[in-house]
This record gives sequence, structure tokens and C-alpha cells, in this order.
Amino acid sequence: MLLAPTDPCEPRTPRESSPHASHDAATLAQMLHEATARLAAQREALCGEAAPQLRHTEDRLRDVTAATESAATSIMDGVNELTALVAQLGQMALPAEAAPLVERLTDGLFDLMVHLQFQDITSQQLRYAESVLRATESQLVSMAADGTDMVVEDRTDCDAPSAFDPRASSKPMPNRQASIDALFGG
Amino acid sequence: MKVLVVDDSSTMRRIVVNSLQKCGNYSVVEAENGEEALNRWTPDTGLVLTDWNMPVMSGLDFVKALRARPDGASVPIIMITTRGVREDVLTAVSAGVTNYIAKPFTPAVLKEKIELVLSVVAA
Repeated sequence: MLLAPTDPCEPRTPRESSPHASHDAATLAQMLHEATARLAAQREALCGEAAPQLRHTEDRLRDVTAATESAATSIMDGVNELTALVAQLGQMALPAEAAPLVERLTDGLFDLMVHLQFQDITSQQLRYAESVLRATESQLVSMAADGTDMVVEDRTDCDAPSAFDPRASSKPMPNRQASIDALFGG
Repeated sequence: MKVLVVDDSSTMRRIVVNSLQKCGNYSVVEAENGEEALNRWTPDTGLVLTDWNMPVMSGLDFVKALRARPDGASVPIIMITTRGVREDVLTAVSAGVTNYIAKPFTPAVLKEKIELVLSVVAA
């Protein structure tokens, strides 16, 4: 059956405005009510669970940074002390065959210390991860607060981006220094 | 010779200072960031070793500020940083660094670069 196109300017007939229309309006109102309730529940979950979890994770990352720095300092202190003791040993009247061993000990301790560079690199990687978590938390809370009178704390400037390299890596890159040297004509 | 070592990581500063002690007779002054380095800078400094990524004032801004001073225009500056891509190196060169070392570095590379920049100054 073909239906004649309806003119939107034409007054609605009584058949269109009742009882189906009122049923549709009630259904729509119910859907809006349910959607609003779901949004409120999601907002509650974002602010009450997700955001605090992100902040907690950020704190844990900061703990790891502090712990590795503290451990690196302790190792460094130990290496310095042992190096001094080995130097004292080298001053003593030892058999000739002990000299290369003293040298190897000194070099080995020095190499141990040099390997502690990982701490600086991993702390930059962790600071980068912290900054990503902070930005995500900020976006989540802003999204949840949108349209409400909730006050959102701005934490995006807590750590200057200049304090870490987002691409810092401990992966061995044997040709990297050579590529840099090439730029200096080396 | 007086060497100014600038890095926000105390671990890195100690590694650099220990490496310096192993490869020569240097008097070391340490700073945690660019701003502190500018405050500790004295014209008798013969070499600067600086990190790039630091809070308060970055190594790049420190290099620019130092190069803008008449007494800091010619001191050799070696940037020691995790930033190792070509664009970073070129940016650092534009700012005024004399040479560039990627972290993690070996003491042999540090020694080589120090000898290289100081030989250019001496020539």
C-alpha cells in the first residue's frame, strides 16, 4: 500500500497524538531515565574507583623510582668502599701474580658502577609512565565532571615534561653513538 | 681543570665523576639542573658535562643561557643524554654543544670525547 507523503507543517491528527504517541513519550522518558542512571553509575565508578586506582598506580611507580635510586646509591657506596680497599690491597707487598688480580678487581668494580646507569634510564621511563597515568586520570575525572558542579583538581603540571625523555631506553643500540659521531664528522 | 657536571640523577653524577677521576685529574663541581649549574658556573671552568632532561631548567636551556654569556661562549660542552635521535643532536648542536654522548655510555667513550673537545680547545 502506498502512503501519501505527510506535510510536516500540517496539523497532527488526533490519531497521531494519542494513545500511541503518549506511549512512545513514556518509553522515551523511561529510556532517558535509565540512561541518566547508568551515566551516574559510570561517573561514580570513574571517580570512586578508576581514578583512585590510577593515582595509586602512579604512587607505586614513584615508590619504585625512589627504591631503585636508594638501592643504586647503596650499591655505589659499597663499590666505592670496595674500590678503596682494593687500592689499599694494591699498595701492600703482594706476590707478583696478585697484581693482575688487583687490577681485574678494580676494573670489575668500576664496570659494576657503570652498569648502574640503568637506574637513571628506568626512572625516566617510570616518570613518563606516571605522566601518562596522571593525564589519563585527569581526562577521566574531567569527563565524569562534565555537566556537574564537581570541582576537578588539575594535576597535569605536577611534573614538567622536560624532566624525562619519553623515548629513554636501556636497549642496546650499538650503532647509536657511531651515528651521533658521524654528525660531528667523526 | 675544573669540570662542571650537571645531572638531576645523583646516580649518574657519581658515575660521571668516578669516570672522570679514572681518566684524569679533574676538580669537579656538581649541579642538579640548569639553573643550579648557572649559579655554580665560574669562568675558570674548563669543561661542562650536562644532561638534557632535568627539572627546573633543562640542559638545552642551560647551554643556551651559558652560550649567551661572554664568559661561557667558548667553554667545551658535552651533552650526555638518553636522547639520541638525529633531530635531538642537531637541536643540541644549534644550542651550542661541542659534542654529544648517548646514555648509556661507556667510560671509554666519555674519555674519548673529553680528549677530543679539549684537544680542539688547546689547538
